[in-house]
Amino acid sequence: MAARRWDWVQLLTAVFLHLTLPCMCQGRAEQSYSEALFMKFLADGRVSATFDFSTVWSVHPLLFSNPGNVQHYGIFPKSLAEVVAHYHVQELHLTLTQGQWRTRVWGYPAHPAPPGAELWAWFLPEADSEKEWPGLVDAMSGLLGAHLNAIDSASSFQPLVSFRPNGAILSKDMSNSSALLRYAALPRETVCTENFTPWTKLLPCGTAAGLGELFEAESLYDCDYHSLGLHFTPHCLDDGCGQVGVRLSLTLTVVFPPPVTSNPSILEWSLKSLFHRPLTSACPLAFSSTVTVETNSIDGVQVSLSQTPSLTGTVEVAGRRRDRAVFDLHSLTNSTTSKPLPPLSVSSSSWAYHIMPEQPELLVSRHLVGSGHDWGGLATEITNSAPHTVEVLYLEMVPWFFRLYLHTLSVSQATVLSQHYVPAKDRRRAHMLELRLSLPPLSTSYLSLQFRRAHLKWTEHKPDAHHGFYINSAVITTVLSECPNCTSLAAQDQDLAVLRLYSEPLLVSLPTPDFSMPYNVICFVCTVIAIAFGSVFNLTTRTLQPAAAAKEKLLTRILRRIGVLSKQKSD
Amino acid sequence: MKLASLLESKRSKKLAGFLIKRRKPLGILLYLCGLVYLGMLPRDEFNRRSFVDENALMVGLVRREFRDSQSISDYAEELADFGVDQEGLMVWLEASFSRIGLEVYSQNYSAVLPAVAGPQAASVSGRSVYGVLRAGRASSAESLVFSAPSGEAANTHGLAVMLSLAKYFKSKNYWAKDIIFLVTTGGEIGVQAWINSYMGNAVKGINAGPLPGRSGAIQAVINLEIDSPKIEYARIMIEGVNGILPNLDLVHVLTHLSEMEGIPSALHMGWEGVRSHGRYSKPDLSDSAHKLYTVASLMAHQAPGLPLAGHAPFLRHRIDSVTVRGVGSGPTAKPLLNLARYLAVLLAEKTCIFSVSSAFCLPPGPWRVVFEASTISWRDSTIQSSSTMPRLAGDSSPSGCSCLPSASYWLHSCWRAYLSGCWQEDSEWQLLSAQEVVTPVNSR
Repeated sequence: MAARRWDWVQLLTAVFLHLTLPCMCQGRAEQSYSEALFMKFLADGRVSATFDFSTVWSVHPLLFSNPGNVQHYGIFPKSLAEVVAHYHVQELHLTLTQGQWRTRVWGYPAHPAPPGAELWAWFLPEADSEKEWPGLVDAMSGLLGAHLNAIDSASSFQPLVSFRPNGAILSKDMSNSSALLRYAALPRETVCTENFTPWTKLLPCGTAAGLGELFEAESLYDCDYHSLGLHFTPHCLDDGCGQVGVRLSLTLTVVFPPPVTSNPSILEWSLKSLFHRPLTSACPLAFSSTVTVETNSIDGVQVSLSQTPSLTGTVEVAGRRRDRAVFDLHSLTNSTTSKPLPPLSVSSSSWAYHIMPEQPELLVSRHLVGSGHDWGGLATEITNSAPHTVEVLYLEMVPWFFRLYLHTLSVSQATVLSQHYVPAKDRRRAHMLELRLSLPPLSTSYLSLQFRRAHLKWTEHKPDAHHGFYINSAVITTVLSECPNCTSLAAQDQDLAVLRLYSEPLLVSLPTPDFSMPYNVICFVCTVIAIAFGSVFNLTTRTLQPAAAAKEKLLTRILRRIGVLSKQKSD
Repeated sequence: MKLASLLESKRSKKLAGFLIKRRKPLGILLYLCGLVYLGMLPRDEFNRRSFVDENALMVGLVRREFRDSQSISDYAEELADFGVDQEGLMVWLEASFSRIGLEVYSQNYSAVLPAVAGPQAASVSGRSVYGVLRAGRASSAESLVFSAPSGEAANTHGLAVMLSLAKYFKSKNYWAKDIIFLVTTGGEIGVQAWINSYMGNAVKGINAGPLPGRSGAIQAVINLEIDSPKIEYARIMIEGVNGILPNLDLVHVLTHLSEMEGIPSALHMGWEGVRSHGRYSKPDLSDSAHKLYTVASLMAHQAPGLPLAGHAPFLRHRIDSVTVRGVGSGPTAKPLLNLARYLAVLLAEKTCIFSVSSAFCLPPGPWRVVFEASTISWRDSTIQSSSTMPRLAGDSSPSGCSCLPSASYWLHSCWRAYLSGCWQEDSEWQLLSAQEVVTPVNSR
């Protein structure tokens, strides 16, 4: 009898699986995952490595909001999907960066990011962004272990034109208003392996297979620039954008110091020498797993590979020829033999240090002006080396305690086409200045703005108060028709046309109070009260009266009569 | 009632009368007593040993690893060939900086010196060269300046030490702040032109060119002036423009490090040292007379407010800076390696922490502190979360190295830590005329 019941159970299970398995398979089939590593020599001999792990899922972004709609997450990280669904997020961008990208020497980055943490999000059209934004910030800080909770209303912005939606636009209303956009940046935030580990957990293959095998914290953090990115956008699944899905792109950009060898004129790197881990397999979940090396000769210096690539080709990226060598990991690895990949090494011969790099067309640099604790100023230089006029959007975000004086804004060389200024409210809102500038060809424009430093209450100072406070990086957004200095992967990213540059964040010191004063005051007041109050109180409130003569004792009187004691009474 | 009677007693009336009658000689006597007391302050019984206030600045914790004395002498040889050819020197420096791997920039300046002793106004012009060492994974928000002037006074060995340290620093990866290696010409005018351009201030009479490359806010400056391959003493010059002094912790750390390397440090040389830069008299650093002389010359240098050396223009902008001048080449002189080594340690420490300690004092010597307001630092740093209790006067806590956690932990955490600012803001500090008496405004 028991055996027969067991047979029934088995039969039912088999039927159930046969019915549901196609659905599950179908869920996974609608997801596609690809991983790519792009490496190139930068103009000063450094090596930049850009990882891009991208998952495309054909679920419509609006379906996310209803938890019942999505039942099988597949290779899409469930934790992130739930956050996105719960807070009605349409588009989410988070970057955690250490270091400043040196645009003048390195060109433009594939994924621009300011130093520190940056989080910006577009919410779905029906969402209440005011209510959802704090929750989203908390959820993202928990997801990646970053201290994003420091973002509050005083450090959140709604730029009008500088941050438009990437990816597919779901409704026409979104293009006109920025009520659904929130932007915040924390230049003070430090990034370390505590952020890196949860980020790797979002990868389908993690660090077990594929390009994730190269991740070793010691070598990734011993570099000159390190940037983690998480970009969630709606994605057009076909050319006409008839079908819309979502795309999650996890990016990592690392710039390694120049890989010098014993011969000073030869620079040589290999995956093993940079990452210190072998690459043995491709991620089986990825339909494409590639390592691309750009082999353009830089100013006459040849770049040579030690291994024959699967594919070489010349790609036209934004008006400039790029020679790319692509290594397809799927074809190079054989999962049955599980042999490590033959080492790839790249060397460039007769490297002369400090070749003057061709300057990118657009450069921005910002610095502080003035010393002392009362007045100060911001000065920005925007250089346009192109032979034609360029129109840029300039976004400046200044905390409320640096009181900007807009009448001191002076712009030279460039023309201000329009201006949008949101003044600050103490402790509620920060200053935001957005300018649309037209830069004349081959010129350097200067913007300067003065501010006054406010006094903060003594509890509002951060730990290590004398360090100072940061002003967010200024953001320059533009569309370039030609971009010879762009570092970019294949033409899959729609963002190629939009160029974003971040200036340096500024560290400004505020007048700090003497934090020992509360202690001093307590000590002093308590001492005064303990010592002086009693005496002063007595002196002021006691009335003195002559003492009445006390009646003497009988014995004393007798002794006095006899003559033993003196005749006079004692006082 | 007793009180009232006291006031009316005959004795007190007599005393009051005496005081009023002899008020002039009494006043003079008390004034002389005050002067005598001032003169006695340098004695050890009246002041306390110097100490490093900042808890996180553990002097001597950083490993002293710099050993490259060969590169110091190589650079010194190459520099000696230039002599008075300033322009050639600048070009060579640019090439050396870029070979080391720094970002190299230069600034032109010109100044019209007011007529001092005649109707003709002299005009000077020159070029300063600076190389920026960018710290990896840092956002260039803060920077340190390592400066060495070049000009009429030969600073060959100072430049050599700076270049070899630059090469050594480039190989390390624990820097949290950018380091700017600055070579100026024209003495303080060149430095003034550079810092004016950096801060965006303009000074009448100095036409400073634009700076093509920058880093962030400058936190500290070390200025080197050495003209001999071996030095006996390191003279640490602290007075700045308008009598502003740098943060004392910087001076004390330098003193301690200098002592660890066997180079005694002094704030002023002996009597003969005042006359000429080359001749000096070995200061007997424990001698009371020398201490008194140090206090007197500190006061004499602070009062007029003139810049003393190349570090002075920075102090006006509240950037802590000192000049280290190597003095003497007698038989007990130590090689420059020692100096270079402790400067490397200093910069390594400076890249992380700075202190909030007292700034005003008249130190009788680098090892003692007078008039030092009790220092409190109440901060919650990323390394330590202890708040030091206020020190009462007379507390004789010894200075020097404290218990040291492992250097590797410190080095690992040091790039995460920040540099705190200077003493707190008080506008009275900055306006000092010769007539104003300098008194400690903040006693905390």
